[in-house]
Amino acid sequence: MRADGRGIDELRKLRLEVGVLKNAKGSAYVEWGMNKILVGVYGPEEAPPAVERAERCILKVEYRMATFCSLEEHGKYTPNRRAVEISKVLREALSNLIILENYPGGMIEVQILVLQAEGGTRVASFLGAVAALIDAGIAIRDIGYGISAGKINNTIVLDLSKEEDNLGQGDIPICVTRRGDIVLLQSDGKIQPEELERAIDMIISKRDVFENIIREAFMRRYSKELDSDLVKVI
Amino acid sequence: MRVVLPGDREGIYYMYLEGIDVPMQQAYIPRPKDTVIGKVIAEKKNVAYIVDISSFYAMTVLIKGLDTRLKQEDIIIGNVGDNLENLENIRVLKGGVLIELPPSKIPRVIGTRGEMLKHISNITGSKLEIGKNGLVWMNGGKLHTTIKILETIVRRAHIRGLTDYISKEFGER
Repeated sequence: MRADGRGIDELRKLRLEVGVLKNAKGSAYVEWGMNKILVGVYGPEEAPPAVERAERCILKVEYRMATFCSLEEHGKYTPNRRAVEISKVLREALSNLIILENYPGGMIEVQILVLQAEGGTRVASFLGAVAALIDAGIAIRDIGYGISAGKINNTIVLDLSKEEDNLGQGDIPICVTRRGDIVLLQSDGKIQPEELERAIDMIISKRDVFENIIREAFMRRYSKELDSDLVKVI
Repeated sequence: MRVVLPGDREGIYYMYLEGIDVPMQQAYIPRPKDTVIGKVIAEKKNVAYIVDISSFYAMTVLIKGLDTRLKQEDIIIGNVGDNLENLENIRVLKGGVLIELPPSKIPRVIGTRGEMLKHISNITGSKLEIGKNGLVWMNGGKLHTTIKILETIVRRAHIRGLTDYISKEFGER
């Protein structure tokens, strides 16, 4: 039934690496199907003086698409409507995970660059951001992940590719914490309430897969020596 | 080796390796009485100095009650006050080199009951001051070797047999 012959809840090939950028406090690289996404986390640093010293930390999330990331969006450098939207929803999703009260008056930046896009970049970016935040040593309540569910031939399937997203009956990207709290849910297309419930159940059932992917990424990072440039003479 | 992730258990917010009781990475959050090292970055006229401690906010040193004047770029060591904004019991660290490490590696630099610190001083003859915020000041002795040892500690903090490795690589004085 699916364009690439996957089962209804079968995910595309997924690879996660952490600690890939030297000039960031924490970083991650996600390859999910044909998606290639880099995430760098900076901070907590002092919030700019123009911002009133807040009780909680300010979270800045910037999702950007590289000029060569897809056939339709290529060559455009300034953030488009899509990038502005995804930055906003990811910031709201991530602010549920990060313990922002720990860093009053501070600011944390999550910079996301989509090198190559093939459907589901916002959920892949969410996974990368969670891993990069852990790598940066920023306190988070729980790990989280996201999958974009969708409807094809009246059946709910998981992890839509670009064609399935464009030609299917609807897509519902959902991000959850491991405990099963929903932190992001968007919907595009006509989905019945019972179909939505089914999608959420299917996504929550993938918990162990993502937990292992994150665990193994950190296992690889710490199974060897770290880089000595973590030490800086100032 | 097993990786412990945030949320694995109640109250776990950082990533750990099982058997090592400090997080692998942890952004520094000031706590009362912490010894920290910082650099004077500004003076609020005759009231206070602003000190950068490489955290998400700068500390203040009140001029009232201070027996010396500080100037910009001075490196100081002191304790975080109970209000989490002032630095108390400060001393100026003159000369030397200031380096920054990930704060989560500081316990390894100090070692059990300060053993690692003594070990480093024995090998290189450098005098070291350690801030919980990840800043380390050093002066005298073989500074280059001291930096190399600190780099080694950061790279291998999560690998067994750190003290032996350092003795083997850098030798006793």
